[in-house]
Amino acid sequence: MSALTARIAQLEPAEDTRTSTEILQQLDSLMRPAAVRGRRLATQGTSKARPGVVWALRCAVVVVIIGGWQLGTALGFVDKFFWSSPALIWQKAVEQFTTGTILSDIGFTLSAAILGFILGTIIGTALGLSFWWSKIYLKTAEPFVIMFEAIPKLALAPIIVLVLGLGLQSKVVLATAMVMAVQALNASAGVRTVDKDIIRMMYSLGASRGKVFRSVVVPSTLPWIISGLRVTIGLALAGAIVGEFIGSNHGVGRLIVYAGSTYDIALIWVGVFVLAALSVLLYVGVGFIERRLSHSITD
Amino acid sequence: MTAVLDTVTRSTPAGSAGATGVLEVRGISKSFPSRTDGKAAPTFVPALLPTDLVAKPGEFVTIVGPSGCGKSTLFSIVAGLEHPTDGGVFIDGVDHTAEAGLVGYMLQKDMLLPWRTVLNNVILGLEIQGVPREASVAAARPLLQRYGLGQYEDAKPAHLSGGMRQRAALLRTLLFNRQIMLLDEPFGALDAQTRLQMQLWLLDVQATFKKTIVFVTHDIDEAVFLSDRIYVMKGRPGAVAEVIDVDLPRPRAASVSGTPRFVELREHVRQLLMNNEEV
Repeated sequence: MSALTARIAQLEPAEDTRTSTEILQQLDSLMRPAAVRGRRLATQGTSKARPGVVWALRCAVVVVIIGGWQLGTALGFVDKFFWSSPALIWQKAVEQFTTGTILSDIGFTLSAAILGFILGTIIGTALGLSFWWSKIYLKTAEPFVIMFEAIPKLALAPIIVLVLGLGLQSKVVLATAMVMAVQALNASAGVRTVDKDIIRMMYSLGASRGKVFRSVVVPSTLPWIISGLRVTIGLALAGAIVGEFIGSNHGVGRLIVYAGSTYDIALIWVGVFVLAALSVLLYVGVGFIERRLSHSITD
Repeated sequence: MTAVLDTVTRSTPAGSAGATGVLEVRGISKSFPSRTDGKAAPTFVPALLPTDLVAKPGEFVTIVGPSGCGKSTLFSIVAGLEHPTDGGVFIDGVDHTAEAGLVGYMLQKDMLLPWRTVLNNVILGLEIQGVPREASVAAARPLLQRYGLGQYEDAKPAHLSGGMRQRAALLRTLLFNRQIMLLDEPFGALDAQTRLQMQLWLLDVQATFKKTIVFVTHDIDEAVFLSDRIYVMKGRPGAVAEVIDVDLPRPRAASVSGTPRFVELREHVRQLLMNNEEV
């Protein structure tokens, strides 16, 4: 019993009789001795990335990788059959661009990706914006949109190719599906963040729902759509390529599959590098459009 | 100046042409259902007890009170954005309860649309009311000029200072051209100096356009300085504690705040608010 009361006494903190000054003095003694001088800033200018230096370093990285690869295959460290070599890839690329089908393949893949990107952005935005009109409609549709966003659309590729055939259509639809789901969610998130007070202000000026939608909801959702563009352009390209993997007469994806089935490793690499170049091109292009659009909205 | 606005008035459908601008709030009350977990009948919590308020044409009426005294609820109801639980809003003797678009309404936040230029923001109300753009612009330009926004008509709101944004918001309310204007703490977010400038400016606007203004503020000095009448409210549930007539002569200069009568009125309002706080 006495042991228990002792425990309780321990648990209950004794009343603190220290004055505020004493508390601070005790803290002071616990701290490290006051620094003679404060933490100094790093020397000015060192953190600036000069563009010339950066570009030189980037080129050096490329040179090291390609040089190492070439040297590795020449010295036998890297198996030429599986990894090909930069020289062989270059040869193959020149051959493809002068006599091969690669230019029309690039055109095919680009058209599918860009068409899908445009269609998906329009349909997705319209879908997301439409949620503003009715709470019941929003609550009903939302889980389906989220589900559609979550399922890998690529799993649908075989069905879509079977239904729509080997041509451009099936690729455009796949690219559209990829873009649409993301932009629908972006737009509905944007719709939800529209300032309630601005809407009240609009109604106080006698605005109709249609006017509020046109003058407030759409413009305040646009930044959400625009910031999604750089992500969705990559998805559109991926959709188009996968469609070509499953079954196609044209396209860079088909070229890669064909090269794989004939053990033409150099051609696979040509396809991969072309895709890399395409995605950079599309990314930069969309980035440019994005800047123009957001400038015209906010500035 | 008024001639410019008159042309707008005439071309405004359902406008305030010929209106005198009497606002009567008759027994307005509001209760909200309290949150219930189950399906039990919700109990109602009163937010605003039956309240009467009158603003005659060209009068400046102010509501002061602690947070949660139902000021903003009252304003939403008068602006026609919310249904009262009971009572009615009468404009020029006609029942206009729960009808939006009949009074000008301005909040602490300026609510300027960031993607629109200042000019396009201030003519928003006219645009909604179907006034042709040329007529709206012709009405807005001289007012923007006169109130120091002339150079900024093509600027986006983000490039304006807080005081300028509030002025643009007030011009939007003014150009909406309703005889009654509700201003809900319009200067609450401004620094003291800008605030005083805006108060003087508002008095000037009021003297020029003879609007009926109902004004909400936390600031006792502001209330006494601007008003013809002050409704002091108490909170939870909101109700009017006392109505005070401010008999300071007009036009008022900033120096009026040093006069004995001003100090007396200010102390009276402060006492009322303090007493109600304790209850």
